[in-house]
Amino acid sequence: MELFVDIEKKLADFTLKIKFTTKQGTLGLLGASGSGKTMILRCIAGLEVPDKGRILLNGRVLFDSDQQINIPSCQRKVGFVFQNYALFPHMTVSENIAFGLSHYSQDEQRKKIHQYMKIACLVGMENRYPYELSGGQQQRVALARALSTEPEILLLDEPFSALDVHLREQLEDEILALLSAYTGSILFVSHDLQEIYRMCQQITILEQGTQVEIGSKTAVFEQPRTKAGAKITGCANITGCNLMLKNQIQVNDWGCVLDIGQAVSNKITSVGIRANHLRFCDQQDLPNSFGYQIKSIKEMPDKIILLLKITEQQIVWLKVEIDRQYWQNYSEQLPPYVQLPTEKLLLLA
Amino acid sequence: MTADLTPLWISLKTATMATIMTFIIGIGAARWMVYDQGTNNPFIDGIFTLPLVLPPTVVGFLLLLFFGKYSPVGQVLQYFGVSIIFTWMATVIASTIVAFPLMYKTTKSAFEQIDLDLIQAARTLGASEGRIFFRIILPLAWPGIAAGTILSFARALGEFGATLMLAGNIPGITQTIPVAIFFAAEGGDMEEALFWVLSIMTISFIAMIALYYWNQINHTYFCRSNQRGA
Repeated sequence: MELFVDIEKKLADFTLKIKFTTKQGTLGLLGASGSGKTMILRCIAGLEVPDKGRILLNGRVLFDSDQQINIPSCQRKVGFVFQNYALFPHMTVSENIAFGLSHYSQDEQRKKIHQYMKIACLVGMENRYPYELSGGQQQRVALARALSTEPEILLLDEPFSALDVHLREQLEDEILALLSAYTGSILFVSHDLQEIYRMCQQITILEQGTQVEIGSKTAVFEQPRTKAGAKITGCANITGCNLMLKNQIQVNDWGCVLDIGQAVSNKITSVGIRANHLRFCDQQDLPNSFGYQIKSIKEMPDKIILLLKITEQQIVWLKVEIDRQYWQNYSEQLPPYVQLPTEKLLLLA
Repeated sequence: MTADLTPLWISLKTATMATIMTFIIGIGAARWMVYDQGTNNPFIDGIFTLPLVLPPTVVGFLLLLFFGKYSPVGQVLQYFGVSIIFTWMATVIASTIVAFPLMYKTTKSAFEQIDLDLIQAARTLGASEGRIFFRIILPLAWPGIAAGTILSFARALGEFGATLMLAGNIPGITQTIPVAIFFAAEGGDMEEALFWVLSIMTISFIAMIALYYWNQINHTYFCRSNQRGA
């Protein structure tokens, strides 16, 4: 199973330009709303035509602007789960699933419908109409309908966005179980980083139609290489910096010089640190530790968010996230120093 | 009281035939405009809608020119020994043309309201365009199509101006109820005119009641599914 995509398409606000290859497993496309994620899926499914480039699925050319090839959607063997599920409102659940199976005999159709109803835990709902189902059930019908055609790749367009937040995690588990039987590759689009982290092995990050990061999810989340990548993976403190010595950077917005441990290339333009990676400590002699003033305290159900001022020259406060339990253990009197651990600094191009 | 009921039969026959024709042509034209044309062409849309806003006499006059002896179409027809003007076919053609915009407009707006995702989902499931049209588009647009059909029938039944221009007033052949009313009233036979007035009111009223109940049946199902879709 291999999908190769290298396309360009001019959109209203920017030009979508992306190139990637994905093999077995789930590739997540992460990006803010309007970064062109959905457009990529639509181009792969043949619902939109790229301006130029190539799309290959398992060696089959789906689109090639040079050779003027553009296989119609219905022949691409691509499963698409729409954001709003796009179930046919005038058909029952089993009719919805049967719609993609018309080339099978009646008998085989019945067998397949039953098989996928079972996989999607929908047995007993054969004769219900989409409006009689809950959001989660509708989603499973949409998935069963897409999977029943045995597509070579499954495209999921923000499949959880139409659901209540408290339902999502439970449904993610159900969907992961449902998808575990599927052997093709999966392309998963989302703007929710938690969700994409849980669902995917590989991640690519998009900003304004350009791909800024690609790699395994741990690599992308732990060591993003670009500012956009750090931002979208949830890094709260990002600012510009200047390389001073081989292993020191000057950060004007924070009014400090930081030790970065290793020698780095000159391309580094920004530095970041995640809000939960700052540490409080009792000694001042640790690298990158500072005394601080608390500028504001925001209480969340499970955590506390602090804004810290660490130097006199500082312009932008540092955002720190700590566990509520940790906060209570210190009965709201934290250790006097805060450290920006060298190994947790994100050096960004 | 008149015993001659031919205007009633001619009217019903004409309206039914014209409805069948507008049904097919109207749906075809709406499909072509919404799904086959890249852009919604306002020029063509305007031409399709014109019979709705033009005085029926103008439509009748244009049809006379179109089918007349001196037009290319008229000459071709004459060559084959077919004459349209002042025949029953003429009443059907006049009614069809005048009723067409109603069918076309209602069907087109019903098509435009269908969620494009549904059509695209069907495409990714391997369905051909024909299958999508008959299994997805037509069923979902059906309430609109049915309304358009009933309105077209009522309009075809009431057609007067274009019919008179193209088909004339030949009792037993082209004399429909509206034409009969005009000539009865003009000739001073108010009783006969009133009889036909009441009968056409009854038929049209029944058609509108049918439309109302049709909408009621579809209302429950479509309202519910639309709420979810939002």
